[in-house]
Amino acid sequence: MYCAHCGEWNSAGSRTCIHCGQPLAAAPGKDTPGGRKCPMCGTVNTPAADFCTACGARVVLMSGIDEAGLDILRPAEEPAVPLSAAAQIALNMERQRQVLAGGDDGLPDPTLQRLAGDPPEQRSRSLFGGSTPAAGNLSWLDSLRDDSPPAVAEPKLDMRVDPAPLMAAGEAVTPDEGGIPDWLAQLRGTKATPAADTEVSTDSTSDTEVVSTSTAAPNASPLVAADALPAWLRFTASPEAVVLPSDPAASFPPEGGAPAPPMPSEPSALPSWTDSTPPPADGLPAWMSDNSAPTPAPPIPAVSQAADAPAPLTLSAPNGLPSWMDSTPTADGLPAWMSGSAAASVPSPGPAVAPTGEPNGLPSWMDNTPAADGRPTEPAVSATAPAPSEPSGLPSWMEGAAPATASATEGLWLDSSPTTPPVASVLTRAVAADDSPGLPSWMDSTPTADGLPSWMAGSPAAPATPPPAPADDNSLPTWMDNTPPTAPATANSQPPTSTADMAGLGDIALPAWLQAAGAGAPPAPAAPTAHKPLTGKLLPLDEDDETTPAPAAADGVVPAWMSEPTPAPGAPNPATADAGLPAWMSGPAPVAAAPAISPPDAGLPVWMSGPSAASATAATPAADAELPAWMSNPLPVPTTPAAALPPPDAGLPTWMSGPPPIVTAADELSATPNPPAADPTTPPVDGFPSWMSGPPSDTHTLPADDLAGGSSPPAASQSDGGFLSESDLPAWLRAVQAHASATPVPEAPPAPQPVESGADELPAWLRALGGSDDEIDQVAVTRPSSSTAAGMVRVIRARPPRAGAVQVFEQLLAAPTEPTADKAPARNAMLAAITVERIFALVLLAVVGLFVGFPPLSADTVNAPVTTAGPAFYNTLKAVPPAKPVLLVYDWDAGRYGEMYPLSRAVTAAVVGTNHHFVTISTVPEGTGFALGVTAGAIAATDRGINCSVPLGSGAYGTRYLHLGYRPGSEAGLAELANSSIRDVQHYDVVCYHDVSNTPILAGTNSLSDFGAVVLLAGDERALRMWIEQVGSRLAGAQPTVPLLAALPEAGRPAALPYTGGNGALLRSAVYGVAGAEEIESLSSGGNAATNPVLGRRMHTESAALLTLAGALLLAFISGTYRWINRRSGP
Amino acid sequence: MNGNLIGWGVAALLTLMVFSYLLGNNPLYRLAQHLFVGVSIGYVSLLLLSNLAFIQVPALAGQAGLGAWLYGLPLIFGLVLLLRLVRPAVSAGDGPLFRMLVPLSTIVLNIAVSTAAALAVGGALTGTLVPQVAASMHPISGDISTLTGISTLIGGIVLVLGVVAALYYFQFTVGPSGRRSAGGAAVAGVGRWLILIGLGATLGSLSVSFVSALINRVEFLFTPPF
Repeated sequence: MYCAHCGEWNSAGSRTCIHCGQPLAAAPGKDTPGGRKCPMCGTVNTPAADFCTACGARVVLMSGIDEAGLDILRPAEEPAVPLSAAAQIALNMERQRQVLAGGDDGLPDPTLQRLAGDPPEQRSRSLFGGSTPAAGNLSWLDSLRDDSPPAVAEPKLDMRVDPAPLMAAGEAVTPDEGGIPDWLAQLRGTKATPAADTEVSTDSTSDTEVVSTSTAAPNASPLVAADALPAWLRFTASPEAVVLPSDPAASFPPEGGAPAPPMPSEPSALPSWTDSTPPPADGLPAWMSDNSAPTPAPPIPAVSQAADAPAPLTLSAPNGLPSWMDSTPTADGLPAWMSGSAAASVPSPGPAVAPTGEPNGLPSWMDNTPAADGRPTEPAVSATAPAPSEPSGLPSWMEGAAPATASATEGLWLDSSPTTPPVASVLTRAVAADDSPGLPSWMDSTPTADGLPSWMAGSPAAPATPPPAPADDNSLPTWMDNTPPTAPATANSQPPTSTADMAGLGDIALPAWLQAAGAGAPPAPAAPTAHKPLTGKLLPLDEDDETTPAPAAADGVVPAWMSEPTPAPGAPNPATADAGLPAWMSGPAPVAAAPAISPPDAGLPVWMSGPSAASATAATPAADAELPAWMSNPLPVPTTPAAALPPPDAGLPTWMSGPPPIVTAADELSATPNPPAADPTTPPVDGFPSWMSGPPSDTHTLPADDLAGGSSPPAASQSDGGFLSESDLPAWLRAVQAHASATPVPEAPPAPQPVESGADELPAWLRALGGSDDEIDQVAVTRPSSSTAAGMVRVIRARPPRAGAVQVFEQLLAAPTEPTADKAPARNAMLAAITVERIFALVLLAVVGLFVGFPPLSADTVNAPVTTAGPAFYNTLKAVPPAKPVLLVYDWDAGRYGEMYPLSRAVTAAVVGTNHHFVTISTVPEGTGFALGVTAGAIAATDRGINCSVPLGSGAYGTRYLHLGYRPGSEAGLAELANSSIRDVQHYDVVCYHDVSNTPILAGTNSLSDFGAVVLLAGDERALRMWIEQVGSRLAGAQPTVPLLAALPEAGRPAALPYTGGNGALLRSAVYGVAGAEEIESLSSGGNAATNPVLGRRMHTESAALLTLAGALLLAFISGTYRWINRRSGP
Repeated sequence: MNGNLIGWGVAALLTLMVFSYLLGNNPLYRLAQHLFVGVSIGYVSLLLLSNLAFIQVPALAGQAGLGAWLYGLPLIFGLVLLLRLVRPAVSAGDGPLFRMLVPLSTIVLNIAVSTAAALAVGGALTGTLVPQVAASMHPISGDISTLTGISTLIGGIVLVLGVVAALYYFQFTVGPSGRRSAGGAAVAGVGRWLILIGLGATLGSLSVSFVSALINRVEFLFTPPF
C-alpha cells in the first residue's frame, strides 16, 4: 500500500508509513464515531472491530471509555515539563523525521534521520559512501554519482574546513537541470534575485558593486537571494555577521598609514565567492577585482629598486577591478596589471609603483593588510599577486609566461585572447549557456562514484587527465604554484580550475588545495616565522618540510625569503635585469622544479592543477625556501587565525571567522596561542596588526602545513633565530622580531566552542562526515525548541499509542532523574552498623549477662518442671535390666553445647546413678569428645578406671562403660550397626584402641537389640530422624523391645513429638533442653528439685531472655500493626 | 599458670571475638570463624585417621579369605574415590591406569550414593512415613465421660482435620474458572495456618536453643576457673 501522506510504498499490513510514520489508513481515534478502545493496550479500533488490532483483546465501545484515560492520546501543545536531554533527542528525531516527511526546506540532520528510522531507500549515498539526507534534499548529489568516474584513493575530507570549498562542492552539480536544487539553480545569474533577507543583504549595495564589475557575465545576477540558499550556505546568519568592510582602509591602523588593501568586499552576507557569478572579463574573481575605484592597491610587497619599503598604492578601477588588476588586455594577452605595460599609467601594485617607503619600515603590502580586527586583508592575494613593474611590462615571474610562449608556459586563462580571458570565457560559457544548468564549467564536474565531484574528491589520481596546463613555472611564480589561496581566493580562484570545459579533458582536475582533502580550510596568512602547526591528521606530514633549511640570507635589502639566488638555467629570467626585484618574483627557479607539469596543464596554475603537479612543484623545498611560510603553504588551509579572529560582527565574512575553521584551528592548535584571541584588544605595535605583532611562529601556525604534507614553514622558523635573521630583516621585520622576542608567549586561548552559529550553518551531513560524533550529539541535544516539543505531540497523535507506553513516557518526562543525595558518611562505621537487630541482640546479651553474672533471683526458687516425658524417660532407664548395657548415642556438636551438655550430663548421671552400664557411640565426629567429657563429669575420677596398659575390662573402663567412638557411614553405618554385631562394626574403643570383642561390657551384646535401651542424645532433627529411621524401626520389632529414648534440645521438640507416644511408638520418651535436664536431675536425685544451682540459674536466665525476646516480638508486632493501619488509612 | 586458665582465656577471647559480630562483620569475627573451621577440620581428620585408618587397616592385615575381601575391597574403593580429587574424568593424555581407575571411581561413587539413597528412602518409609501415616489414622474415639477422653477425642479430630487441611493446602490444581472453590480455599487456608503454626513452633524452639547457647557462653565468661 502507499502512504497517503508521503506516497511511500509500504508492505501490506503496515500500520504506519515506514517513511513518514503517518498511519497508512485513517487510524481510528478518539473522535472516531463508534470507535472501540482496547481495554488492554488502549488502541482505538474501528467501530467494526471486535478485537484489538494491536493486541487481540476484546474491545469496547468508545462511549464506555473514560475520557480522562484518553487524554494521553490528545496532543498537548506544550510539554508539561521541561524536557530532558534524552527526551529532546527523541523529539528532535521525530521532528527531523517529520521535517523529512513534510519536505521542510531545512536540510535535516542525517544522523537524526538515521535515528528516526528513515527507510534505506530514502537515503542517498553520501559523498563517501555513507548515508546522506533524503534524496529530496540532496538528490542533486545522487545525480552526481552515476556517471562519475570511480574515485581513486579517496581521502577523508575534513568537513571542519571552511565551507567555501564545500560549498563549491555543493554547487558543482551535474548539468542535469532537475538534479539541481532550487537554491543552487538560483545561484545562476538568470535566477538570481535581489536579496530580500536582511540577513544577507546587509551590504547588498557593496555586493552589487562587486559583482557588477564582472563584465564577462552580464546575465549573472550580482545577488543571490537569501531564500534561495540553504541556511548552511548563509554564512552570515545574522546581520551582525557583517563581512569585510567595503573600505578596509577605514579600519587600518593609523600607524601604518598605508592605504587600505583591496579587501574583497563582502557587502552581502554571502561572500562573493559563494555565488556563481562568473568572474569579470579580466578573468579574475570578483573579490579580486576591487569594486571601489579609489581603493588603494593591494598590498603587494613593494619591492622597489630604491628601497624595500613598500609604498601605498592607489588603484583606479575603471572596470571594476582594482587598478592593479586592471583587466584591460594588452597586446600580450595578459591583463595590464600583469603585463605591466600600463604600469606607467595605472598604478600597479607592483613594487615599482610603490613610491615611497613606509615610515615604519613595513612594506605597504603588509602594512595595508591589517584590518581593524587585526587580520590581514587578503594578504594571500596581495602577496601572491606581486606585480612588479618591469620595464618590459611584465613582472619577472611572468616573463616566463610571455605571450610568445603562452601555449606552453601560460595557463589557458592567461593564454586566452585579451578580450576574453580563458577563465571568463569558460565561465561565460558555463553560465550563459541556455541549455545547461548555467553553472560554470568548473562546477560542472562529473561526480565521482561516491557522489562527490571529482574535483572535490581530492584523490591524487582523481584528475586522471592532466588538468589544464597551467602556466609553466616559468611563467608562474612559486607562490602561485604552491601557495594556496585563502578562502575567498580559493573560491574565486576555482574558476580557473575548471578542466572539462577549459582543457576539454573530460575530467576534473582537482586543485591542490582540494587535494588536501579537507584540510580544507583556506589558508591564512601566517607570520613568516610561523611554526609548523600541531595538526596533520589527514595528510601525512612531509618530513622533509620539517627539515627544510632556512633559506640563505638574501643579499642586499631584500629579505632572504624574498631573494631567489639561483634561477633555473636556461629559463628566461627577465627579472635578473631588474635588480630591484626579489628573485622570487623573477620566478625562473620553479621552471626546473616543475618539469612534471604537462603542457596541457599549462593553462592552470600549479596550485590549481592536479595534485601531482602541485606536489611536484609546490612541495619542493627549494621553492618553499624562497617564500615565507605563509606563501609556501600549498594548501588552502582554513584561516587558522580564525580561532582568534574577532566575532563575525567585526566586519569579517563568515568564512574568515566561521566555526569550521575555528574548530579545526582550535583543535589542532590548542597548544598554541592565537594572538588575536590572546589579546584581541592589544593595540597594534609598531604599526603591525596584532597577529603580526603578537607572539611569533606558533601564534600563526597553519594547520594546513601538516595537513598538506607538502611545503611547510621553513625549518628555520622553528628554530630560535628563524630563517629571518637579524641581518636579513628589513627594519620593519626587525621590529616585528624584536617585539616578538620581547613579547611573552601568551597562554593558549580557550578552544572555541565547536558548535556555534557558523557551525550550525554547516549542514549536518557535512559535519557528520568531518566532525566528531560529539558534535553531532551536541547538535542534537542543544536544539530543543518549542517546535520540537510540538513535534512530540504530533508523534503521539500520529501513532496511536498504547496507554501504558504513553504513561511511561510521560512519567519519564515528568519525573526527571532526581539526584540521589549522598548519605553523609558516618562518623563511625561501628555506629553506622548498628541496626535494630543488633540493638536487640545487645539488649538480649545484656539481659543474659545480667542474669548470669548478677542473678537477681535465687536458683533455689526454681522448681524443676514436672512433665510426663521426664518421668517416663527416667523410669524407662531405671527399668533397664542391669545386665544389659545402655547405648548412649552422643550425636550432637558444639552448636548445641548449651543445652546438650547439661542434658547429656543429666542423662549420663542418671544412667550411672541407676547402676547401669553404658556404651557410648557417635555418628558425629565431635560427639566422641563430648562423650568423653560428659562421662568424665558424670563418673568420679576414682571410678573411671581407665588403664590402657591392661586389656579392657580390667577396670571400670570396659566393664562399666566403654567408648566406641565415632561411627562413620551415616545412614549406612547405622544400618550396618543395627543389622550387625556391634563388635564387628566397632572393633576398637576410642580411648585405648583396644579390641572390644572381648570386652566384658559387650559380652552379651551381639546386636543393638541386646542393649537394654538406646538413649539418643541428638543435637538436631537430622540425627534424631536418622536414628529413628535406621535403628528405631528395627528396634521396634525386637523382642524384647529395646526402648529408644531421646534427649534433645528444644529445637528438636517439634521433630521428636510425632515419634513419641507411648510404648508402641518408635520413640519411647524424650526430654528437651535445660528443663529436661533439670527434670532428669531432679528425678535422679530422688525428687529433690532445684538441687543444681547452675541449672536453676540458667533457667532463670533463659526465662528472662525469652521474655525479652517475646517483648521484642511484641514491639515489632505492634509497630508493624501501627504502620499497617497508617498505610491503610493514608492516601 | 594453670592450664585451665589459659584455656579459659583463649576460649573467652574467641567467644568475645564471635560476639563482636553483633557490631558487624569484622576481622576478629572472621578470625574466630576461621579458627573454628580449621580446628574442626583438623579434629575430624585426626579422628578419622585414628578411628579408621589406624584401626581398620591393621585389622585388615589380620583377615584372610573372605574377610580380607570384605575389608580390602572397600579400602580399594575408598582409594579409588580419592582418585577423583585429582582426576575427576578421563582426559586425553591419561594413561591406561587412569583410563581404568577413573571410570571405576565413578562406579564406586555411584555405589556409595545409591546405597545411601536407598537406605535413606527405606528408613524414611519405615521410620517416618508409615509410622506418621499410621499415627494420623487415629481413631476418633474417646470416653467423653472423662476430661481426658474428651481431650483425646478433640485431639483426634483436630489431628485428622489438620492433616487433611495441611495436605489440601498443597493442592494447587484449580478448575476451569481458575479459582478454588470456597470450601477448598477455606480448607487450604486452615492447612496453611496449621503449617505456619508448626513452623512457628519450630522457630520458637530453635530460638530457645539459641538462647540456651548464649546463656552457656555468657555463663562461661562469668565463671573463670579461678
